[in-house]
Amino acid sequence: MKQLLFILSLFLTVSLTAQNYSFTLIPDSLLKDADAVQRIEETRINIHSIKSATVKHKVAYTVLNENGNNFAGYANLYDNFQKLTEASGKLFDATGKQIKAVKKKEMDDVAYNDNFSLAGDGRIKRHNFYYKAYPYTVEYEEEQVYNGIYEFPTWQPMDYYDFSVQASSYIIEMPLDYKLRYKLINGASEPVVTNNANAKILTWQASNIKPVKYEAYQPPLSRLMPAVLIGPVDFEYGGYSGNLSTWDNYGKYFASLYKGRDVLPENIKAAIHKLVDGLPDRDEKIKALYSYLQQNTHYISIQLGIGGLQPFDAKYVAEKKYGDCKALTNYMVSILKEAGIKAYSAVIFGGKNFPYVYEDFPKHYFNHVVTCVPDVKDTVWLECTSQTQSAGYAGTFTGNRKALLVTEDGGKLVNTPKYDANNNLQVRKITARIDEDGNLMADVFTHFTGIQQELQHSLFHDVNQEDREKYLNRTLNLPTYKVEKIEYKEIKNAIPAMDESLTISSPNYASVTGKRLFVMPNLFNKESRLTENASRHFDIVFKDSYRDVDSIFIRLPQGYSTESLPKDVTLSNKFGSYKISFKVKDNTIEVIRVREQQEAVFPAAEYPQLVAFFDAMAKADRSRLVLVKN
Amino acid sequence: MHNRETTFLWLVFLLMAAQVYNVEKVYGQQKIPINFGKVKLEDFNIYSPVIDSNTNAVVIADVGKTEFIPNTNDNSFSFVFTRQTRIKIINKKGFDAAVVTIPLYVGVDGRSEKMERLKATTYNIENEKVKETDLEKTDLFTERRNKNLDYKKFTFPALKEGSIIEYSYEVKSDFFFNLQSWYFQGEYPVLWSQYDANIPEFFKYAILAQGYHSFLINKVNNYSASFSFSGRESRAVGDNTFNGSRGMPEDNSFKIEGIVDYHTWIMKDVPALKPEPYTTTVNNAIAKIEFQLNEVRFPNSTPTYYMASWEKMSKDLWEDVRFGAAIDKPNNWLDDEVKNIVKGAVTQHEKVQKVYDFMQRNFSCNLQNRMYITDGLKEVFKNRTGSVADINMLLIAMLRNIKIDAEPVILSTRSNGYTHEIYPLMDRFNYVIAHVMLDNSAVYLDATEPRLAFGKLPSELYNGHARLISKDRATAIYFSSDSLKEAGSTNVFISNLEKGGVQGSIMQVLGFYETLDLRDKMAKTSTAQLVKTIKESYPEEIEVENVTIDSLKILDQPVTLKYDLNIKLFGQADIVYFNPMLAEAIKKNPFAAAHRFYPVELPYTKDDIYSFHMEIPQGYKIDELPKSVRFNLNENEGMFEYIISADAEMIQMKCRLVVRKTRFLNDDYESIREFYSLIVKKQSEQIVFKKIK
Repeated sequence: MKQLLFILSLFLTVSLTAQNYSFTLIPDSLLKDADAVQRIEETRINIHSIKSATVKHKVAYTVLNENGNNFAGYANLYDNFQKLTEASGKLFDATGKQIKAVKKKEMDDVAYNDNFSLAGDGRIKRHNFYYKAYPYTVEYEEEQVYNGIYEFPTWQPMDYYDFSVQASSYIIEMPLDYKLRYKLINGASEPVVTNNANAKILTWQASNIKPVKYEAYQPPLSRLMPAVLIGPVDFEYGGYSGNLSTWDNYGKYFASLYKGRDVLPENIKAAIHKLVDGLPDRDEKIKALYSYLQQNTHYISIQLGIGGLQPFDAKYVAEKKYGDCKALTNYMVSILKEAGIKAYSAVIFGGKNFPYVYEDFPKHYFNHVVTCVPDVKDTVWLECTSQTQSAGYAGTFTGNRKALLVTEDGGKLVNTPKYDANNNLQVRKITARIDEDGNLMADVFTHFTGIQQELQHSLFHDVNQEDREKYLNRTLNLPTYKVEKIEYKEIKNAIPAMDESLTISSPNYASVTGKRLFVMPNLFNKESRLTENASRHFDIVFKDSYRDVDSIFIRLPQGYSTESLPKDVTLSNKFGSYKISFKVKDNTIEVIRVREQQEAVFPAAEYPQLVAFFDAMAKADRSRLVLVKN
Repeated sequence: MHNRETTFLWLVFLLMAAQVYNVEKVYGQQKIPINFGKVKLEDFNIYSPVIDSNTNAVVIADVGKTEFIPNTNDNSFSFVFTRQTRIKIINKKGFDAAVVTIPLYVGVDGRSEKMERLKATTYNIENEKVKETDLEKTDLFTERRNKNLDYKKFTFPALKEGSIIEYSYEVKSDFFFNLQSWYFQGEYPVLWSQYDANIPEFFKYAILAQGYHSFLINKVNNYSASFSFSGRESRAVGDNTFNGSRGMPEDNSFKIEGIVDYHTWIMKDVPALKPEPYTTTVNNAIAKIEFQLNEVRFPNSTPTYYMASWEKMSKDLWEDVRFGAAIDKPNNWLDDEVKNIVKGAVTQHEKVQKVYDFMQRNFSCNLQNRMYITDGLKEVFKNRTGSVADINMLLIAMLRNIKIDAEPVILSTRSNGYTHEIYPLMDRFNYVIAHVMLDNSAVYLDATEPRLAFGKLPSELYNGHARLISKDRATAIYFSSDSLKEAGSTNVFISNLEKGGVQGSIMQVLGFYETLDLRDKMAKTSTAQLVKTIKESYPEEIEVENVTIDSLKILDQPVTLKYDLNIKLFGQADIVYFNPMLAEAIKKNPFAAAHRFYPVELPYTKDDIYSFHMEIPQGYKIDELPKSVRFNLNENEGMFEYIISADAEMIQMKCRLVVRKTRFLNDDYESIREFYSLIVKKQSEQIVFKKIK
């Protein structure tokens, strides 16, 4: 009882003052440039043991305008490991008067549909008051009971744009002998620590955080805003216990989940030996086996119980011919092992916007598993959920980041491949002609490699001809036109390439006025202007390196002479380089354009120079040539 | 406002129904072209005109049947829906066709439809032989989608490119209103789609067909049948119990006899459904058959009616607490409120306007399109928020409270698909608005759109047939998109400044829906953002200054945009190329696709006028002017003109685009595409100025 009183008194100050949701209590500094204001957020984690905890969460948002409405809805994804025991919501008007309330049983409850899983036990509790008289305030409270823990929510009070925070707090209460790890990032402060006879309590608080405006090429908020990462040392999840104090130990936890799941049926073993025993080297074998996997299995996601972390065994995949990323990877690793090639499952984050992995703070930063075939100099990465990827290519989905290898000796954090400008090419040659009416017929041949071929790879493999045409019709920004021919050729490699051949006709591409013909000879590859920011706050980040080379040849109708020829432009600075040149020779316009950019970070102060650079390129890319009939 | 075009699909069906017996003679006995459960090597080779390079999977046969069966033990009927489907997976992109979801309805009391006898098999060619792999029970998943819907889900094992997959199942149901619809068309082409239904005369359904693909077979035969029941104590569930002619007294068993209609519908070689731009909804085009329960009538029992005439429906609606009853009662709790709202208003018109303004200003719609009130109007009034029905029915109730005869009009939004004129199929309706007679003309009000002018409706509501619901009748009214005219105008004046330089001013009066769009956009963004967008639409040599927006808040006025242009093209350059359309040219043909499968449906007709006056810049002369042209879209369905002239000092240009029709059938697609292509071309032309030397 004493303990309870103590907790109450700790909360009284926070709760009672913030409970009044009158709009007038929001400081002006939090209203400017905000669509919504978080009035209060309290996350309270009560850890009972290494596998059990109760998490109470309360949050209130004042929505200021239509854009802020996306803060107003409530949704909670829960499953058997994280049961949702309580949920309720309240709606308040501008003066802070409560006008409506909702209980847990009145909220919608639907199966979690991620649009790609066949089955899962995740469910979503959701609700929305759909109120529209601004400003208004919603408050939601929920309680979740963790039955199995391997991670805790991160506390990052400011995690949206055009949004401000009046108060946020994060409290962890745990048994005195419980070992907790935390890491302060981007300038977060140490917690206030209090102890009593039975428990230790850590409290973090923040208040009055002003809105942030999104800026082009900025780093993600998670790299800028103060936050606290929190993690267990010893833990238990799904009946398996583990330790997260080191990557080595976390890898061991996975190893225990994967143990004994690599047994292949005899017929598959035989098939593998038949396939690779005659092949001369490791590389050939890996390619042959990866291709075998791609032809014989496909991706189906089933996430039930510990299935979120533990794969179906190799036998299951061998029989059903399908599995999710873990199951397919585990199967691939088993196949390679049968062929005498050492390989590991590698836990990773799949997706373009991947979180930063703090090496000194082991945590589950991941959502995906791939195969890693290690080698002193020639490590090969295999994406087992794809039927079309080249062996060894990680690309924007899993490249240039950290992965955790699950080895027999524990976990090892390693880097995946990174791609430079020489890897990411777009080399295009356009051979075209324009007739007297301004109609254009063009053959466009483009060689794409690395990251730059990903779109074409997917146009080739994932969609049909009609969708390709639709895509091109949208992308190639011509007034009216038709793609007469589309052909792709794939060149599989660790740096894969796609060759694209298009034949395009565009009626009236060149505009004709009386005796003149106006032509914009740079058909497709145009930079856009950047939005100007009066005051730039954040660093400028270029994520990728690439090089584009365009050679354009447009044959003109007979009897025209050049009235106006655009100027050549050469720009080279710390942001990259750009060169475009125009000439008319033998009745043919010739344009050569070379553009290169390197992965880099620049200070915010240099933004005006970047804007000027893009303006200059955008203008030169739209240069017009005027011809006049003799 | 009369437009009966929407009904033509139904007519097609009725005509075909009349020709049933002819059809049968012509085609003779049509049999399912495959044997389910037996896949031979040669079955892997498939040819059909509807398979092309875009086909990733093809439905070889999809055969469904619904049969009514007596439940001997509890004196009731159920129906059993069986389905057999064979699909060929052509390539990896077709793997999605191997993920099957079977929806099962769950009633309010937790009773649900039951799926039985699921069998699913994958057939692959291995070593020149057909290899079968069956689905295992453990690989079937159940998902409680929501409180009224369960999903059974599975995917086929051992799937490869080229696999044939086949599945069959039964669903037993006594939710008679949920007799399965049959879709002949879907994401993949279907070579053979057949649906049979055995419907005893006790169950009366309206059968509705639609689509642009014709039936191979569409026939109905009948036979008499006798259904036996044990006569033991029946569970009293819904309307599905009855008394029949009794058998022997000691066993209570009895039989009922009746005619069974045996329907067969078959379509062959149905192409895949393709979504296209400028269609209201693909739902209107998909080939399907639906069943609407009309009544259940057992011998010696009182019939239960589920659907009736419009007249009966309007009566029912008027008595429904979630509809008519809520507005028909006096709602005296509103007395003081409404009196306050209309204070100072004299005429009927002023009163209605005041109530409408009040609703628009104070209520917000939760964007849920509904026809029925959610809880009660009192709740809505208190919460200041609700569905479309909540808000517009409250508007009607408030008007009726001060003795203004407002009535509800029910309709379906364009994206929800057409409503049915003949049958009162209430689930097709998803919207309700208010109808008031003011100065002898009908005014329609929708208070859910906060920035809509009084007496106007969103274009999304112009979807043909709608019904005005009164106490004793339901009057058909028609909201035709052809009756909507979007007229906008732009005026440009460009002149020489005394101090040198060229200055332009632009005034743009937006059309009604363009205005509405801009108002909605401005609610989410700032004027600064709009100014930025305008600036970015001009090249850097033309600077945009002094942007003003008029009438943004005056809802019954169109928005006017005004701004000045500082044109820095002239002075140094020997030759200046100048497009008189400035930033207003249509740069891209909206009908980019070369082919079209379904009609083009535009939201409104159009009349845009652009006029341009330019003083010839100091020190320059005209070297070349675009030519004037005028052409029509089809005969009289649209017009474009571009008239330009110049004298020694001034250039005058007028450009007008008129489109008088909103629905274009496929045959007209080429002409509307060409029409816009010519416009894009013409509007890209330039005036050429040369420096006087």
